[in-house]
Amino acid sequence: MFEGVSAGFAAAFSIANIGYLIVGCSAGTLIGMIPGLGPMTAIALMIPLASTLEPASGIILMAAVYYGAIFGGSTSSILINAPGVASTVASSFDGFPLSQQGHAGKALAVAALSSFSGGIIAALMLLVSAPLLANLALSFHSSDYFALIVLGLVSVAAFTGRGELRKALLMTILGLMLSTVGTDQTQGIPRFTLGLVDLIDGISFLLLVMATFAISEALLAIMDPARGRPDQDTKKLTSLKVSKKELKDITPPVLRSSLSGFFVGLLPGAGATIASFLAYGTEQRFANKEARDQFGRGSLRGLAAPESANNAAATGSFVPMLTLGIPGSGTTAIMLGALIAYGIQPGPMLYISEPVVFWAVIVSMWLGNTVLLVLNLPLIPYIARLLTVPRTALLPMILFFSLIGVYLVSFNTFDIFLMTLFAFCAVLLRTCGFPMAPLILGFIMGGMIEENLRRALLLYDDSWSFIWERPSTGTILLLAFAVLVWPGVQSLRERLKAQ
Amino acid sequence: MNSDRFKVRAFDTRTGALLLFVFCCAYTWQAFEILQINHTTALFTASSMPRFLGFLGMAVSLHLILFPGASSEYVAPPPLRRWLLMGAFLLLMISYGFALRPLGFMLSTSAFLAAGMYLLGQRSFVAFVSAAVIVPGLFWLLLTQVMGVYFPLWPMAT
Repeated sequence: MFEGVSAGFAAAFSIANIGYLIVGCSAGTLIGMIPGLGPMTAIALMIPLASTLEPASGIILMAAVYYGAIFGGSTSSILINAPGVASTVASSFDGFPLSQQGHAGKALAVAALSSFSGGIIAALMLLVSAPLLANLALSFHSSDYFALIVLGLVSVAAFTGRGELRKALLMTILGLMLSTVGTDQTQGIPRFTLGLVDLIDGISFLLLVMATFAISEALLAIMDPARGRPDQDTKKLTSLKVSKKELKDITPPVLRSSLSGFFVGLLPGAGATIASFLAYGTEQRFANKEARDQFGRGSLRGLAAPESANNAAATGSFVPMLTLGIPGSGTTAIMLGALIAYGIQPGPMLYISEPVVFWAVIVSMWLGNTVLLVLNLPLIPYIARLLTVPRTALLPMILFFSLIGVYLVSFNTFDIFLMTLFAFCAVLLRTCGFPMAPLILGFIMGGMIEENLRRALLLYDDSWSFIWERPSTGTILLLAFAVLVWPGVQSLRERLKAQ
Repeated sequence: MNSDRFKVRAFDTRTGALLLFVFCCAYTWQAFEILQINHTTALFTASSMPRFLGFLGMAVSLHLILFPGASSEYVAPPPLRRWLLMGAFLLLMISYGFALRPLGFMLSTSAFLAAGMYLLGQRSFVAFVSAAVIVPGLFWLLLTQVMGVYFPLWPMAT
């Protein structure tokens, strides 16, 4: 293990990888700052570049983009009350009032410090917990993996929000359906290719991500010019200084929120959004009356808590992805797809078979958070100018980078036509309130769920007896069932109460 | 995760569910067309999962059509001209796909960006030059000179 850790340190500290880290953090901050373009879009836009790099460098770049995008989202939340992503909505509750009171610089500094602390604490916990979980996962059979994937898919659908479960479930099924296009892996039989040679290898993951996130987001912005437009002009930044007393005041919330954020991030589907709201609510309850009254009016605690929690959760979500090969969120699903494209299969064997990639990613998290604090914070006044780029130029450029990014991978114009079709469908579905993240998750997990189920059935002589013969499989499937029916039970209870 | 919850919802849930129901029906029909290996006794074949997914998708979408739930809030759909504008962009993207090889990267990209900016109401000559000429030029240089990806700038002789 120590050899792997030292190799990871050596890889992460190489000049090239530090360069990619800086580029990733800066690009992520830039993209994350644009309202509507979240970490998923940011990572999707970076995949064409990352695919030309070594696996460790590519994944370091994408992880840096992820943190950068969350940090960028906080910046637009604080400065213009336009959260770039859902996970930074809670940051705007107190960040924007601080900005309005003329403390924009201080708010950004507190956000950066809290994010840094959250990221560092969570990366430390990841360092300890990832190998433990990976060792445990080595005892898993195909049937357990099948059950775990079902749990992951169901959890993501269940966490999408009130009344959205069936929509998210339907999008997950749609993602699974799209994953079946192409040649069947075991029997070599073409499926849903419609006689087109271009579909024999299936639908490209990058193509689907670009179409459903980057392009559909740009098309929605074209249709609705008010979408994500800032409420006010960018505030003039004031001093970034934070006093010792203020630092002392925010330390306990940061520590508590970092821990809770990491554990929420571990849960499939929960992610940074739930972690940030949970941390905000918890800190509000923890605060004394005077401090509680400040929440929503520019409380530094109210800003520090969600900021540290969302960054810690982002780190925590890497644990199931790296150790089980099961992504807990849409963002890690995209990263998982990128790893598979490299020919690397994340799972319990990853830290044994690819120790450099595994440890370099973990080490790069510390470096990434340091880069965000040291480099990005002073650059914020300049980066914030991006918000003034006219949308008349920005939107066609997003379309161009998305189209050319996919074209450069295959040099096949069919991909551009297919992307256009998918983007149109994504716009229609998004205007009807159907979420896209479960679709990507379903698409990524489609091949794995089919393969593991097929293998489990083969091992048990074409019998479903593994469900009751293996207690772990049965328990996980029962848990998945409970997660699926829980929202229904809750709403039934509320209805009965109301009567 | 579902950022659209905070934004526009033009149609109600039923419309989306109906679209997906039609797709699921077509998918299920196609799932039954998947070739089967003769004399196979395996319980799980290439068409097993697609068939299951097809029926599951039909059931969930049908449930959403019949019981859309209280979450489907109605917001007035964007005006027709906005849909037409999006349609124009879709056509532009398809045209870009057709033009990329015969016109080469530079001409097709500049035309794509300039047309996109024009459609969105941009009329400044400086903005056109900087976005439609300088950006693709710099991108091409980055691609070919830094990343070492071969990509012809101008139309290739056939």
